[in-house]
Amino acid sequence: MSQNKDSVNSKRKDTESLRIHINNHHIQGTSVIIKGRKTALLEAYRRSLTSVHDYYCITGDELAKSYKPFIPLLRDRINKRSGSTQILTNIEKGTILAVKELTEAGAQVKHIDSSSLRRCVVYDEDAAYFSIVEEPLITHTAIDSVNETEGDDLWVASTEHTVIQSAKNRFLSDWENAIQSNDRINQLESGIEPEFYKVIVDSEKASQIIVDLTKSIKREALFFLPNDKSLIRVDNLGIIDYLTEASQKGVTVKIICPLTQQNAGIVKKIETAPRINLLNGNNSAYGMYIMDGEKFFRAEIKQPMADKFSEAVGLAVYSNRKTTVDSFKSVFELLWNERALVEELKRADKMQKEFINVAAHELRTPIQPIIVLINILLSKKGNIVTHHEEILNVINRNAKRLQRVTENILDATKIESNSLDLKKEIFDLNKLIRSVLAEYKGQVRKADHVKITFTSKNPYYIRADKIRIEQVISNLLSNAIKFTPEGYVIIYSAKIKQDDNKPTAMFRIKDTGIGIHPEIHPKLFSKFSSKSVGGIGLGLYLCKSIVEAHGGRIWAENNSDGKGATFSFTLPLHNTIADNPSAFTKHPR
Amino acid sequence: MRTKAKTTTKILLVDDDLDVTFSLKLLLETNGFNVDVYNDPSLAMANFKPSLYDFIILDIKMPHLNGFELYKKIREIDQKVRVLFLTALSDFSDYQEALDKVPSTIAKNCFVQKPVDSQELLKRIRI
Repeated sequence: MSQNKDSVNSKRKDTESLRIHINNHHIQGTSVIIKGRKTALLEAYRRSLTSVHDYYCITGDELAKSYKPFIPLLRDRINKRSGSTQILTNIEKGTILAVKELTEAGAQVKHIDSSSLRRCVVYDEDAAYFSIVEEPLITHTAIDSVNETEGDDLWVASTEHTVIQSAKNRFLSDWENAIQSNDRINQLESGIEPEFYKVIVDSEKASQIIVDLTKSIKREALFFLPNDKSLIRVDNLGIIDYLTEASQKGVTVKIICPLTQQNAGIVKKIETAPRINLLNGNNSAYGMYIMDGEKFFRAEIKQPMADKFSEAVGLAVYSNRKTTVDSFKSVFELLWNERALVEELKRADKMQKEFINVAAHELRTPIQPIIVLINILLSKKGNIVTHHEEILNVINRNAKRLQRVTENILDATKIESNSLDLKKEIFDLNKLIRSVLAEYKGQVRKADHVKITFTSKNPYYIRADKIRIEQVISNLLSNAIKFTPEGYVIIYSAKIKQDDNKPTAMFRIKDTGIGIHPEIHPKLFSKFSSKSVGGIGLGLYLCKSIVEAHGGRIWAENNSDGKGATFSFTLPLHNTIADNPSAFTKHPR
Repeated sequence: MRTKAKTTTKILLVDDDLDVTFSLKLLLETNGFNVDVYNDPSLAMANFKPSLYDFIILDIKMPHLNGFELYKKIREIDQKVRVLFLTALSDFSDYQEALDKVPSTIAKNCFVQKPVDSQELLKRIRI
């Protein structure tokens, strides 16, 4: 408040000194200062009772608050078929009604941007009123008295001919460039913003635009950043935080930016946001931002290494022209797809190399004991008799291990080429589980540390490829044992009804092991996802492919007590068999 | 008859694969070597003492402590013992990163790929 008063006081001092200075050039008529917007406008309206042509340039807000008493005067003027009223104002949603009523009553109204609005009221050749704040005209006139009323607005009311003329001329030139009220109202009512294409020279303003644009995102933000430092610069403006917030509300964000050690910290921050996608890009001489497919901002980079956004940008272009936005959006999409493809190829290439390395490791390792032990047997050296049985067991186990790895690689190849053939037959799932367990217990060294339990119930008949299902069970079992240093592996099967009401068999294997690593969990069933030292990373991928090929589902979760994991899969039960199994036991095929 | 030393050559064998260590230990022992086996590299390091072994065979891909990391720790306390890496990997550059500058000090002939022939392995030790 006190600040306001001070500024009013200082303004008054200015005008007083002006009066002394200009008094010498006083020509004719008087000028008074009216304090308070309302008083100024009321006085102005009073004038219009007698004037013929009047010109108003006031804010939409002022217009909406004071237009009502003016309507009968306008109608009266129409009836007398004399005079005209021109109103220049910023038409916004809140002033549409006022503008419509005024137009209906006979006034001409045009729209002007609020920032270029220079408030004044001019009557015929008689008087002019204008606000001091926007008013350079004051320098040409002299002030005769100050009329103090309520409010802080300072207006000048003048009857000096030269002042009136210049106010009127200025009004008319603004009027020429203004937008017809109907056009403006159409724009507002249809929600379409008028097209603009602005060249921004002021880099502080450019930086403000970027921030404002980011804050107003509704659906999608596309960022093309010119270098690694630019990610740091936009982060300093708070943009990454706004984007993170927006992405949590469902906004999609795509950023292409050169990624280096320098901006790795911000990249890490971005990775926590749900819908911000980031791709590595090349260095560029400009940055580009496209918001909601509606607005487009492009800035040249003047100082690539500057710390502040406003120091880095040179000339900028800001536009909402549909053609401009659309064409740059498609440029962005092209770049995005190209970058995504490059990343994808790199990833695939890396995975391929890793796979070959892991596959080689898993194929070579079991050969080592086979070669060495056969060599020992052949050499008949030393005391091999005491180890004879164990030697044969190890050879046998490793030959099987080798077989398993080879089969897995071949199966994966078959799945990739869609040539996995299922030889379906009807069999009891529980019986199969028992046989897998029996075979397994004799095979694995580590099984001593883990207690495996399975209590089978009634037979669950399914129609499936027995060897493939055996492969799935055996894989899940060996995983459970592998990741359980000691404790339990509990297997159970159940008959359940799924959403579609089809009778379904469910297999579940629960262990008390190390559980599923959170990093691995989302891609657990994809190729080469394994983080374990042994294993080729194909097992669960094959399990999923096999179960799904049978119309089942497979999933995994960590146990709620924090110890170990549970893997489950479902397979459709064979309906008629489930009701009357004995009818089929003789002829299973 | 050949280099059967007066004092038996003592070998440390570290590999997480139980069947590999079983077979190699048997091979080396039938050829007159004294072999200590560890399937857990951390345990091998915990029990390691300088000058205890004449020769060390290390796997590379092992859980918790890979062969290079173990090598680095061994070298900190024993600079003389001969070391042979025995690995089934084709590319172990990822594992080698743990070593910083040390790999340049490991000669190329210190690496042997699995599966290694029995005679080839014995020859490497007896050089």
